[in-house]
Amino acid sequence: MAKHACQLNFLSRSDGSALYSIGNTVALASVNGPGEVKKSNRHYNRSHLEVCYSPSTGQSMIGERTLESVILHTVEQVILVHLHPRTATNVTIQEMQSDGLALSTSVNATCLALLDAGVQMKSPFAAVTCCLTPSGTIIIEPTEAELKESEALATFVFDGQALNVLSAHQEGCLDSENFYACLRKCQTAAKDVLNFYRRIMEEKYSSDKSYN
Amino acid sequence: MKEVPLSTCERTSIVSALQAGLRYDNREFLEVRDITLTFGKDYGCCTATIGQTRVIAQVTCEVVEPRPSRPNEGKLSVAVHLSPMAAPHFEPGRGNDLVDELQLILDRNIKESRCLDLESLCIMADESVWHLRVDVTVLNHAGNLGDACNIASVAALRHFHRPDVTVEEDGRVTVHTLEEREPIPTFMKKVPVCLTYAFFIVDDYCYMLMDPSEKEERVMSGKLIVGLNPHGEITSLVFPGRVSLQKEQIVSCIRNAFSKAKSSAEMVQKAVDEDIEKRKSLIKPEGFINCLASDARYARQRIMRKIKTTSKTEFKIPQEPVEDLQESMDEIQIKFDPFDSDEVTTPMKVKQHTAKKVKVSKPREVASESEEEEEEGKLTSQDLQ
Amino acid sequence: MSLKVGGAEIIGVVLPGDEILQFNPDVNKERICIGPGLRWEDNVVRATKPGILKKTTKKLYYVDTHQKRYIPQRREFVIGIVLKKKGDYYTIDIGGSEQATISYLSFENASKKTRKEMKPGDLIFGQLLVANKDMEPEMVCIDTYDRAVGMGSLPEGGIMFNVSLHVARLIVNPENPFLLNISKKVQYAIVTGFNGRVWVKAKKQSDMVAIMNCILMLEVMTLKEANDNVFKVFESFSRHGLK
Repeated sequence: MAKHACQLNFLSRSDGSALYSIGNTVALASVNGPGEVKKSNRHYNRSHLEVCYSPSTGQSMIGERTLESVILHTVEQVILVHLHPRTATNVTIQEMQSDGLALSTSVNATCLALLDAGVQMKSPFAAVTCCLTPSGTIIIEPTEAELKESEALATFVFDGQALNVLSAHQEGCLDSENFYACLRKCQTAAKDVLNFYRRIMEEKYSSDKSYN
Repeated sequence: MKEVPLSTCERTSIVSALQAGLRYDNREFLEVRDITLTFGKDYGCCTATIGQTRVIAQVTCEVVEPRPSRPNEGKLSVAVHLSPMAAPHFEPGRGNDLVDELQLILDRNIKESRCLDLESLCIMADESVWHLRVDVTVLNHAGNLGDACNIASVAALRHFHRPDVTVEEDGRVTVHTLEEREPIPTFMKKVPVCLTYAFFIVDDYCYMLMDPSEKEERVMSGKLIVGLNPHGEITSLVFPGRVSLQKEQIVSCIRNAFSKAKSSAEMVQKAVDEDIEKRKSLIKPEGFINCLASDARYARQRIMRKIKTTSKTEFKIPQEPVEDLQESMDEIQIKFDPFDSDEVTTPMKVKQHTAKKVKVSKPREVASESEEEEEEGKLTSQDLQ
Repeated sequence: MSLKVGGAEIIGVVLPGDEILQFNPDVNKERICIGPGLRWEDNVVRATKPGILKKTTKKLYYVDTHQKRYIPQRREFVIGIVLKKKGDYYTIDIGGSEQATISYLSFENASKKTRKEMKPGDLIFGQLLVANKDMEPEMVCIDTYDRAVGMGSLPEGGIMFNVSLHVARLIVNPENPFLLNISKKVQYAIVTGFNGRVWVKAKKQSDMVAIMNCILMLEVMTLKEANDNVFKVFESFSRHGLK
């Protein structure tokens, strides 16, 4: 597995923010909310969610829109949106540095930014990317160079409780046997990611435990 | 989300703190917050921070056809993006006054100042040239975005290396990947520097601050954003807000800016050179991992440093330019009658050592500026005579 | 590894979705209370926020979270900014997702004839009478006996700034050792709203700014560290007083 690193409370103006890196891919996520909502987006029974992904170069294109929708659907399942009706929660993700793992890095950055902001949710979530090489081996969290060589690439997002799949994104062809093999490998890797989250949060609250 | 309203209390307390001679973050009036530059894994990616203001700039290039009017010049474009990440009240993809202002500053400072040798970006005249695109994204808005955006894009441009090309005999252009051939650095003739001065008019007295924070920006009467380079050229002057100043005050700002321009430009140059030097020795640059410090960590370091410096030096001598400038502004306040401000009075002429650098390089630029700036142009030409 | 501090027992750091305890009201005779950051579903109490799980002696469980965004809660004291007058009501910004309202009668000694007049931009310290997810919050500046007990519009000349909500909760107690430590240096008045707004007033402007910087230290340091540094912060501001 590639090295994970994270810094919480990265931006002073956001309610919650996290700089997350997996290997050489770095993403910055910021969360604002639950706050005021525009009339057109107001729901009587739940909070309005908005996800905005901006690449480091230029305007967002169709590829970025795909990322946005994957993240939006993942976040929607996890946040307790019904607790804050007539509000808006805004997630903004900035690509800082890319090395092939844009989706999983931004999903994990989003999760930690949500945790940093203290948004009420069911459980944390963790994304893991893996790829299948032509020789049939599965690499967890590959680099860009390894991705170019590979036949297929799959990203799974798991929830923190039972490691159920929240969303899956796949490029290239995988037969069902390989698909399940990828899924199982990613599932075990997700446990490590979730443990990493716990370590980060314990670090954040460590100062409060001793004094107060 | 709407911007949090500003209460009367916050407004008056900032002003009365200025009257007592101090700023909220315990800075001198003409003190600039700490500037850091960090470079990414790829060429041409840079984040700049001024205090807690944070901006990222990324340079990309592509081969395009040149403009028919300038067949042997490359193209350069700058785009500024503001998202809710910078501050919750910004809307994604929607322009606002702040974006327009930043876009204007960067266009003038970087594109129109011709600091980059565009002819060197030509591959084949009339056929193909390089188009460099700078994307500047604001990550955290804590005031003075103009300076931050300028510094980030200049550093990114200087840091950028474009891929090497070969032109075949039949006119085909091959772009080599970075692995195949050493990439070529961009050449920047003059480093543009941008400095912001904020003005607070209280009871006919003008307080002048450098590098305003976000709260100060919301309270101030107006600001002057000076774009210049250490070679003595002014590239832009933007003067928004509801404040009218004597032209001498503007000149004194510009003088102060020139005295700081060199160190600022050198700082950027040094940071870029150091990083490029590092790249030569290391096989794989790590980029942003582990070298970006969060705002919280910065705030902590700043407090620690402040505490340390004060416990060591109890009587700090105020910086030279502060008194100098404030004094000269006092003189203007006293000696000037608003109805007869056409003449240049003695106090300004005495301190002409910096004024000589104020040289209007291209009349075209001055002509495009607004009223105050035209006045400025007249004045300096008088000075030179 | 539990630790008892200030009446509440610290159980440990939790993440959303962590199971706190099994609780079935049909089986468990003993009653428990669950506070903010916890949710009871399918006979299991789970956390919904990350933070430190605490338990009071009266079996009240809650999660102490670091948060910047305010979510209005009933009976909490907040500092609001008057936005505009709207009929018999003023609309007030309290930092939540919706604007709060206050009737001009909800002030001490206010009647239809002696109205409380406030301008937009004024600061007001009050208590939330109505605050829930389905209704607009309503503020009052009187208690149930029509007394102001310190509430009302804040006088001129103070300084207002924002802190994180956990810092506000920390300094809301006037007997806090940190605030007492500052008071050794200068005499000052402080008003803390649960919405993270703090208003300070002292005699000298430089003292107010110094107090602000002291309190802002709590954002990035522990209470003990900040306590040690209070005097040094004042020292760094004192040179301005000499000028």
